[in-house]
Amino acid sequence: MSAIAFLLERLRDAGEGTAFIEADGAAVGRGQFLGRIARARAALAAAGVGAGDAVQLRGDFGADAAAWLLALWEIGAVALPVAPTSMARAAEFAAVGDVSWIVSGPVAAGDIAPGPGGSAHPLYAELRRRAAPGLVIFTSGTSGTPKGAVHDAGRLLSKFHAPGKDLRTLAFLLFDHIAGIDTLLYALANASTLVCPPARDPATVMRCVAAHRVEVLPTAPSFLNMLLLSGAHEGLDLSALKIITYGAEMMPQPLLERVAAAFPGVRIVQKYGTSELGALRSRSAGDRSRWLTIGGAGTEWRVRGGLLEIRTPTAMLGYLNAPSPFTEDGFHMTGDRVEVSPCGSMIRFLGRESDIINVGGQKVFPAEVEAALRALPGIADAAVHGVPHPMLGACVCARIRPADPAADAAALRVAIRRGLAGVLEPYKIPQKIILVDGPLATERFKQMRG
Amino acid sequence: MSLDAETALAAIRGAVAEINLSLPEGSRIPDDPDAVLFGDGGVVDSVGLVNLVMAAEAHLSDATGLDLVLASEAAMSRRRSPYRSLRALAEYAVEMARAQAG
Repeated sequence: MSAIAFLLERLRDAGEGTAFIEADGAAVGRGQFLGRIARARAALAAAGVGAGDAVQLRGDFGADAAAWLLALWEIGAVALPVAPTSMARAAEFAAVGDVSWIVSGPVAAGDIAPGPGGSAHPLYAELRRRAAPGLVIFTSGTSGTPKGAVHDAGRLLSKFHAPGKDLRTLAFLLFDHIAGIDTLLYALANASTLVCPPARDPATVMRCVAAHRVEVLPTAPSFLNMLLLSGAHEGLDLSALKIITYGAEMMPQPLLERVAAAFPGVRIVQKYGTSELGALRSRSAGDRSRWLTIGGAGTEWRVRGGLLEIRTPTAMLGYLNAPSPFTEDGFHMTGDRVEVSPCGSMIRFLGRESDIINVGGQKVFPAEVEAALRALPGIADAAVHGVPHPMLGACVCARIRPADPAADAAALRVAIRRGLAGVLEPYKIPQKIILVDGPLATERFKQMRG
Repeated sequence: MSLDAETALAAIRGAVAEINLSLPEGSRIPDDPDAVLFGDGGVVDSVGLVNLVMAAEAHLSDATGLDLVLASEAAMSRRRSPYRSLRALAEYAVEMARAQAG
């Protein structure tokens, strides 16, 4: 029996109803969706895609990409999803992922092309040995090179065997993030309707919530901040909304208070998961509390040196292209700094241990920005660090040593903005620039970032 | 040093001009002080707003020597957002300068 058999059965048993509201507003019924999975499976078989093959899946939330994903798992393949926001790096991901095939577009078009690789990675061999389908989620590495976290999709799916609640959910998180996949699987496993927004700005998202009577809105703290600032939630009928979840970054207490005040009667729930561990079962101590219990079947956690470590059966097998981040006894070193409640059963997140800067949920690696800055004329050296910012959690601050000590600060700021436009994504371009005249590295050649 | 509305708006327009240098035509921020900046029908996204607010702080500091903080919990909690237009942001800067002086 395939790993997704229980999902298909749940969808069939639920009878007629809407599985997806597409980004264009069209409704796709459960029957139609099941038909699409069958067509996708037939197309994959006809193209010669088989069990254990690594397949890049280019798409976004909707019935088509979901049908491809389930069909890939049904035949025992390894899916490597790439959402539109990461499409510029799709070729790099395909190479790192050693993919044999690339699938994209609507199921009806059957676009299945050969990939650059041969699915020969030892972790793929391990999946084949287990006869398990796979999932690869790309997470950014400390050097900025994406790391591929290889999961046994059968284990990830096992979390959904126990029935949950049927709640109409908005697919706000990304299709190629672990939390986005978790949203998709939870909705499918409970035969819920998944509402796919055409864009992820506050106004569009809230219009979708109102128009489609969305009950669960999974988000990130910086989105909630921008939502409250924009006022996009005002004047709309959001009476169906029951739960707002947030994860991915630090939630400032004042923001949590404002969200709770702006959405009275809505439960505000913190979630925790990582690309390496999957999305874990968690429970917030209250709508206005950042204390969190994490757990779920077989999940254990401990705190060593102030850092959270977790062992769970849904953890990845390993990275495609990086050393194992697990301790010898199988705990994942998350790099999240936490405090433990006096009762010892709850944790509260304090921030990331590493120097990765989290700008509104998007990761920025100082080394990448420093390299781009140093490539600009007139800059002798650069050191980049994050500074707390009330709007996006953090912003990028660059300390620059100009080649000419008498350089004009304003002119250099303009030159940096111009020079980095189109070179780095907008959120990576330093928002704050400080000119210094001393050295920016220690004697051991470590950048002095803080 | 005190800050009047005209000086504040001029400095903020200077920040807009600086930011527009790195934006492609079509996504530049309009110079109109009353155009909707952020929110429904606004022209900047969240990263764009942070960029503008921080550039505005730098330009206000260049023009007046004042270190004003235009992004804060207090600013974001306001019923009428100081980020709705360039003029609203300038008015907020004047208010912050007054509070700092007072």
